[in-house]
Order: sequence, then structure tokens, then C-alpha cells
Amino acid sequence: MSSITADGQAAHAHARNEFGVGEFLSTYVFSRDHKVIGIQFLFSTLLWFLIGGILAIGIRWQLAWPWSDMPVIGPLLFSAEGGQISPEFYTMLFTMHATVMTFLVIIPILAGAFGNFLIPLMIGAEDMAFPTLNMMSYWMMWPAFFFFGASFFVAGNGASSGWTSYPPLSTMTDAAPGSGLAQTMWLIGLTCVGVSSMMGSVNYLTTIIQMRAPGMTMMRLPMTIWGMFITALLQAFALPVLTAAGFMQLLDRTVGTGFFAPEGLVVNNSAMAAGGGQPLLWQHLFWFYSHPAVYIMLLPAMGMVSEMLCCFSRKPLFGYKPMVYAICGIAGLGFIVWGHHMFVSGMNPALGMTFMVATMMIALPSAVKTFNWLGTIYGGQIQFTTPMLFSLAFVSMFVLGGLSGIFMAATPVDVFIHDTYFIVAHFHYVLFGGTAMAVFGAIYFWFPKMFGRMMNESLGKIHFLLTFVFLNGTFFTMHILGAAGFPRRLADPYHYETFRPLLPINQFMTICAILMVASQIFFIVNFFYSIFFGPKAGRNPWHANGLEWQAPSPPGHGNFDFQPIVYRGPYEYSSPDTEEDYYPQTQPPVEK
Amino acid sequence: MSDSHHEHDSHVELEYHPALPMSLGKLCLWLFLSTEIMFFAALIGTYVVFRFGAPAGTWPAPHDVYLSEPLGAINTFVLICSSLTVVLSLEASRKNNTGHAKKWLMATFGLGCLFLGIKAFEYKEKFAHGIFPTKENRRLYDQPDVYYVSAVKQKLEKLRSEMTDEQKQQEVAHGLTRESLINTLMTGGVAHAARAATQSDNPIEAQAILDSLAYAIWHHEPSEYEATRLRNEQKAIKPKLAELESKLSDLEKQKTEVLAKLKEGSEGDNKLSDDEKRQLQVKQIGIMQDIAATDQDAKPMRERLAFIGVMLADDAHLLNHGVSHDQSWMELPFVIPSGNLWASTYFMLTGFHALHVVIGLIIFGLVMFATLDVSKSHYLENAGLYWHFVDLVWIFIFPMLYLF
Amino acid sequence: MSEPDTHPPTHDEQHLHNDEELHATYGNTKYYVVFVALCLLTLCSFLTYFQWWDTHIPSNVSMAFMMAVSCAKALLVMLFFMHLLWEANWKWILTVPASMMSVFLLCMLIPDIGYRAEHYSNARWLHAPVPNEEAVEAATVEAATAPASH
Repeated sequence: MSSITADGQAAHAHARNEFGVGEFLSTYVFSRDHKVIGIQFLFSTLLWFLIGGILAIGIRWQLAWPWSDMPVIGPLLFSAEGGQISPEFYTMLFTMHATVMTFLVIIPILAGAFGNFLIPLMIGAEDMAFPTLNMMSYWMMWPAFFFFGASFFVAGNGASSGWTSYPPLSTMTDAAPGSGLAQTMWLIGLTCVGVSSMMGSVNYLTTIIQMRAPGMTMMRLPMTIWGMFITALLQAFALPVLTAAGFMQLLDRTVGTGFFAPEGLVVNNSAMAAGGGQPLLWQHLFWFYSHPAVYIMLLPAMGMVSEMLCCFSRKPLFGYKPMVYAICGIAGLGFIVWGHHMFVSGMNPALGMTFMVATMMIALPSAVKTFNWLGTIYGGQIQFTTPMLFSLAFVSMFVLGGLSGIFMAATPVDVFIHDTYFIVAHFHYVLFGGTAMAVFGAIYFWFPKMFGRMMNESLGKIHFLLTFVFLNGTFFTMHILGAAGFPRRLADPYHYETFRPLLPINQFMTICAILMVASQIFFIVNFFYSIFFGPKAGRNPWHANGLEWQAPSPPGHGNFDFQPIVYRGPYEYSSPDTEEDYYPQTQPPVEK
Repeated sequence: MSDSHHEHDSHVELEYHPALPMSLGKLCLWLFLSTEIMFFAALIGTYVVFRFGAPAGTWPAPHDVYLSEPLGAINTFVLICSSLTVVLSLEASRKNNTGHAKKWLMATFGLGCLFLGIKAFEYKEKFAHGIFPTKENRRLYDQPDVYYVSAVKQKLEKLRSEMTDEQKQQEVAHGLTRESLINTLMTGGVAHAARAATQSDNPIEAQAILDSLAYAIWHHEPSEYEATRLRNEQKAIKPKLAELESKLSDLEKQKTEVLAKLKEGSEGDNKLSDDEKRQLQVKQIGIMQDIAATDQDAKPMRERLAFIGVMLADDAHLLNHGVSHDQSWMELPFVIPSGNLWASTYFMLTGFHALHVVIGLIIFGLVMFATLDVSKSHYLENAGLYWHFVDLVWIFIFPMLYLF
Repeated sequence: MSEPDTHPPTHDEQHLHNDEELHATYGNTKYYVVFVALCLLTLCSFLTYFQWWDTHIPSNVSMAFMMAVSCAKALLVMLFFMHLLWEANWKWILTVPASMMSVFLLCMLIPDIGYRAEHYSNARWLHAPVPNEEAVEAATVEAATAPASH
């Protein structure tokens, strides 16, 4: 209820002479400054990114060399099994890989890290509307970190009913080794993420609506802010439904309600639960959030990429207004298409038809965005900096991932490729090839603003090149596997004769995946080296137009040392009105 | 980044360009309320689709689950009153009338507590009758099946083993002690139902037998059908049993004859030969076996008749009221069709609503003892908006849960 | 491509005061009137509790009536107690999308869950999985001693 008690004014901290433990805590740990909170989010999520990556390597190992001892990580993680991955452990691996990547990495890194850091800077505010609420939204992530993290270690196995947590598997406490306490902790963690996102989203919305600098009209907002704004709306409207569903599943597991347990469910010859409910209800409520969540994981990335493409093409964004409408269109349509995840779940066929048509329609605004990006770079003076390379990768990978999505949207095709590696390829292209690439680019792009120093370009380019190559090596082959019917979520598909010839492809993918994780070392080294020893960046190292580049690097408390007044949109590159090839939003127009 | 915070000591008071003519707090609260709309939409939506999707006629009526409509209406009234008082408190504080503001806020707080009190009383009513979702040892079953029968049996066994001698002899009905009631239910009721239902080839008949047991233990409304069913069964069993009993008495007679002959032959003058003696002994054994077999056949019938007798005694008093209702000390498992889902949705909806009420009370509690002048009016306005939202949710929950 | 604005933005007058404070007529009479109306409406919906209502009005009609009463009550609370009557147009932006989405969510649940009884007939129970042997054994421990009665 802090939304009521929190004062609407950003607090002014005064420079202190003494810097004791209390000051340290309030400046770096329990800080109410949006930049510190954003950086806290960044570090936490990058750490979880690494953990999620290691889990993925576990999955890949099992698929490439099934039932063999896993070197290094094996004895470390599951010495009890003697370094071998058991089927239950494999189930836990893919469950937790998806959970960690979705709820602890992508969503918080976009909304939490970049949303927090960029929103006030880009709209010319000194802080978020509710700094305390903002701080709480970060610290609500810690219970989630704890519950997700600890669920690995309780009662034999981690949560293992998939990140979708479908009942009845997830509501029965004896279904699998991980469906006891671990699954309950998983649900509590999910609720904490939900509360954190809810706090964050109402805060972002209030800030963007009410705290823009004079002259910063909605149609002069940077695309990043548009992405964040729509994302916050999606979170505010969709997430409560998942929270409600999560509570219901928690009650089913602990109290014995029957929302998702079907009537007379008999497992192992004994009646499992007091039922009466419907497993399909969970799927509906879950996807009502989790489909918009796909756009929560994508729209801010789209915005940030638009920013970088313009800056390094030295051209205005092609079709600013269509881009804004496309984002709104994607968000609006994103709400009414959740059923396409359930085509083979026994859903009413009439619904399937409705959802199929709505899903196909998302291709329209997505195409608008893609064409506008291409229009932006067309004829530009392209500077191939690391952020630009990552942005170009985003656009191409997003096209690939988007196109394979259309396969899935059509019911007849989906029946064939559902739950095969084709869908795995699809969402990895969108989420890793798309969002993660945009996030890497954004880190390179805004790093000077965050830490006041530049990252190393050469290391960055090596990082890009290796990641890009191995990313395609890993995920493109998944399409081939999927078309061959290779099933997802199976510890040993080679149990079936049909899939045995696919083993070499899987080994190739695993090698690529391991190398992809390994090439992140370049990033980690670059990141930490540059924080301390990178060359100092000025206020505007990229010669970009946005308000954030007019603030000091890194910005002090309160962000701006002048009153920003906005005179134009954020993408006035190579404008004829000025001699420079950029035209900052705050620069008054030349009198003629 | 450590040095950055000391770089710019002078802060510029930034100007903004707000889009909406309202304070940040109020906007944030309205956004929060929109998320709450979605939260309750999911909960109420779940209730609605379960309620109207339940198999026809199975959703329990309010009185089946001890839900009191007048209490619900009173609670509605209480919440409406509290909505009025909170808005009056806000108006008073806007006029800087701190005394009135405080008075009305106190009234709101009191009404909120009253609401929770009535809610708690309602919950108690449900808990007392065993109507709540439970994971283990539950009493509430959705349909009479073998698992239900097994649960009744376990409960009866538990009752039997935990009774003191004094309790065993306690009379619960005319000529019926606790012990004998439990034994009758156990043999003529539960064991009969389990046996008959599992051995019947006709699934409809098997279901009818289980239904009959469940009806005898708990039902919404007395049905003439079940009573007639038991009377017919009684009529059907009685001649069969009489036949067996007469056969039994015949056998007993034969047995005494044989025994008498044996006794005579062993001592008196006309002593029997060893051969004859052996023949008689063989005959005796045969008769004894017949008696045992007949007795075996008769025993379940006797038990069943005893059960039916208890049920139909006093113009079918126990049957028409239901064992669970009449002998509530037994706390037997009972069947309410769609009952578990009713309990799940009822406690979920009212529980989350009550949670919101508690949060509202905490919000009011925070400023209860402060001076409620104009400076507090924004706080009161936001708190009031939240409170009205809680009231709104109840306005929809009340007819859906209590009156539909 | 946003239009390059060559004029410095005019500083709009900061309307931070509530519209409602401008338009609301002071005086609490209206709240009392709304309160009485709410009580009367509650009484209306409570009519359905009585026997004669049950016998005279079909249940569909009575449900529709109650929902109408609830909506009327909700509208009264929102317009007067929550001051929406005196607020600017933002009230629609904040409340209408959420209401539409919740209605849409409900509608999409109907075919699968709301109609589940159409597919789940009672006959389903007759083909329920084979009962647990333990449970049957536990229940028929008495029966085991006696031969089948038929």
C-alpha cells in the first residue's frame, strides 16, 4: 500500500561529508535512486543469465551424449547421481532454465534494469514518481531469487512441471520428485515476481504520464520509452491474472481446493484430489498473462533497437508514428491471442479458429516495424559499432523468429510441430536472437551513461561475432530437428528408433551452445574491465539526440544539472537545420 | 561510479509537463485499481464459469451449505455505510474539520471491523459443518464413490477406537447407544454398500447403492424416493431372512435331535455301535456346517435390516434428517455435489476480499491518530478510493455468491 | 519522423488541481441521497431471497435483474463516492480497457470451462477408472467374511 503513502516527490539527497555504513547502505544497497536500482537489477539479472545458461548446457549435454557423465558441472551439481543426469533432473533442468530465463532474466532486465535506468533520464525527470516503491519492487525480487534458487535444493529435486506448470502434474504433490515443496516454492517465487512487476509497472506508467520534461509530448518520446510504456501497461493488465491463477494453484496444492484438479482424478490407483475443476482453466489464465509476457519481453527491446539503429545510421527513424501505432497494435493484439499456445490442449475448436486469425494479424504490425527499421538504415551512413551490430542482428533474428511463428499460428501446421524442437527454435530466435541481442547492444550503448566509461570496441566485436555465429549454429538446427518431429521436454528421445539419426545434429548444437556460453567470457571481461579502466566517456559519446545524453555521465543524484526543455523529437539526425549531424532534443532551434 | 554522486552538488528543481490534472499518488492508485480489476476479474471469472458450468442442478443452494442470505445482505449494508462514512470523512478533512473527519474515519474503521466480524461468524458456520476444502481427512466429497465409502468407514473405525466406555453406553436415540449406532452403520451401511456396489454387475445399480448410503448420511432435502427404496428393500429382505431363519431353526432342531441321540447312545441301555455313532457324528458335523453357512447368509441381511430399522425408526427420522445432521458428533464425511468447488470458490472470493478489507483497515489505522486536516485529505482521498473499490467488489460478489 | 518543432513549446498552464474540486458542489446531501439509493437497491436484490419471488420469477430473469442492480450500484459508487462524475476524460482511459479485458477473459473461458458439463455427463462416472484395490479392500473387509448375497 505504499502507493498511497509514498510521497509524490523525488527525494533530494544532499552531498554528505561523511560516508559511513548507513550512507553506503542507502546509496548502493537500499537506494531509492532509479539509476542505482537499475544497475542493481542489471547485475542480478546478468548473474541469473549465467545460471540459466549453465542449466541450458545441462539440457544440451543430455541430448548430445545421453546418460553419460557430465564433466565439471556434473559432479558439481548432481554428484548424487554420479555426474549423470537422471530423467527427473533433466525435467528440472528445462523447467528451471525456462523459469530463470523468463522471470528472472529477460523481464527484469528489460523492465527492471533498462526501464528503471532509462525512463527518468529519457523523459527528463529527476527520478521515478515513487522512489520508495521503486526500491521495493527491486527488493521484492529477492524473495523470488531466494524461492527459485532454494527450490533447487529442497526435497530431492527442483520444480519440474515445466515453466508453464500445467496441472494436474503441478497440482499433485506426489507426481514427481520435484512436485512437493519445490513446486510450492516455485509458485511463491512467481507471485513475488508478479508483485514486483506490478509495483514497477504502475510506477513507470505514472512517471511517463506525469513527469515528462516541458515540451516532451507523447509523440516526441523516444521509442524506448514507448516500448517501456506499453510494456508497463501489459504488465499492469495481464499480470494480476497470473497472480490470481498462481494463488489458486497454490491453494490447490496446500489447502486442497479443486480449481485445476479434474473430477475423479485417479493416479497410481488412488484418488488424487478433491476435484471438480478444470486443468484447462489454468492454461487459459496462465497464457492470458504469458502471451502478453512475450511482448513484455520484446517491445522494450524493439524500442531500444530503434534508438540504436537511428543513432548509428545517422538518419531519422523511418515512420515514427507508424512505429508507435505498431507497438500499440502488437500490444492490443497480444492480449487476444493467448489461445494459440493451446491448440492441441483439447480447447474448443471454435476458439482455436478465433485465436488463429488474431495471431496471424500480429504479423501486420510486426512487418511494419521491420520495414521501418530497414527504411531507417537504408541510405544511412552506417557506423558498425558493437551496439549497431547487435541491433542489426536483432532485426535479422527477429525476422527469422517471427516467420517461424507464423507456422505455429496456423492450427493445422501447429498440430504437427507442437511440442517439437521447432517451437523451441522459434522462441529462442525471438528471445535469444532477438531480445538478448538487443540487450547486449543496449548494454554496450548505454554503458557510458551507466558507468561513465566506454566499453572496449574490439572485444565487443569479437563477442558479437562469436555469439552471432554460435547462436545460429545452436538454434537454426533446431528447426531441422523440429521438422523431423524431434520432441521437446523428453530426457531421452533416442529411446525411439526414429530419432537416433538426429544424434549428430544434436551434438553439433551442443558444441555450438557450449561455445556460445564460453564466448560470453569476452563480454564479462570487457564489462568488468571497462567499469574500472575503460576510457572516460563524455556526456554524449555517440553523438545521440536523446535527453539522457545531455546529462552528465554518469548522472548524479537528480539526473540533470539544468532544466531540460524539449524542442523536437529524438531522432533528428543529419538535420539540415544544424551543422552537426545530430540535433539534441534540448538544443533551441537556430533563429533565422 | 562511486565518485559520480559527489560531482553535482547543486540540484535543479525540475519542471514537468504532466498529462493529467491529478496528483501522482492518485494516478498511481487508479492504475493500481485497474490491476486490481484484472485480479478480481480472474477470480470472479473463475467462479462464474465454474458456477454455470457445473453439471445441471448440482451447484449447492445457499441453505445446502449453511450460507445465510440475510447475513450477506447485512454485510452489504455495512460496507455501503462504511463507503458513506469514508467519503464524509474526506469532505470534512477538506473543510479542515478535523473533529468530524476523525469521527467519520473511526466509524469507517468500526464498520470495517464489523464486516470482518460477520464474515468470521459465517466462516465459523461453514467450518463447524465441515464445509471447507481440505487436503487430507476431508469430510466434503463431490460424489458418492468407493473412496467416499472408504472414508466413512475409516471415520467410523476411528470413532469406535477412540470412544471411552462411558461414551459407548451413551444413548443417542431411543434404544440406541453410540456403540450400537456405529456398529449398525458400519455393518448394515458401509460394509453393505461397499460389498454390493463392488460386486454388482450393473453400474447404475451400484451407483444407486452408494447414493443411498450418501443420502442416509447427508442430503439437502428429504426425498420420498430414498425412504421408499429402503422400505422396499426391507420388504424384500424380510421374507428371505425369514426363510433362512426357519431353515436355521430346522437345522437347530435336527442338531439337537442328533445330539440327543448321541447322548442317549453313549450311556443308556440301547448303546449304539461305533459305526452308528460315527454316522451320527458325521451328520452332526454336516448340520453344523449348514448352520454356519446359513448363518453366514443371514448375517448381512440381519445387519442390513438392523440398519434399515434404525434409519426408518420414528417415521424415518434419522433417514429424513441425515445421520450427519442428526448425530453431528460423528462428523462423518458427506457428499455435496459440486461442493468442493463451491467451497473452493467461496473461500477464495470472500477470502481475497476480506484480505483487501484488512489492508484497507491498516491504511485507515495508519492515520487514525493523526490530525486529519487539509494536508491529510489527499491521503484520505486515495485510501477512500481503495475502500470504495473493495466495496465495489463486494457489490458484485454478494448477489453472485448468496442470491444466484 | 516527428515534425521538427521550430517554436519553443508553450508552457501549458499546470492544471494540477482536481477538476473535481472545481466542479463539485460542496455539501454532503448528495452522498446521503446516493447512500439511500444504494440501500434501496440492496433491498431490491434481496427481494429474491423471499419465497414468492422464487415462485413467480424465472431464475434467469432474476439473475439478470440482480446483475443490473449490481451494475447500478457499482455505477453509483463510482460516480459519486469515487468522484468519477466530476473527473476529466482520463477516467475512461483507466477504467474502460480493464473492464473490457476482464469481460473478454470471461467470454473466452466460457467455451472451455463454462460448457464443461456439456461434455462431462454424469455417465462419465460410470466409466471412472478402476477403483483402488486398497480402498476397496478397506471398505469390504467385512464383506470378505460373508459370501455374496446374490
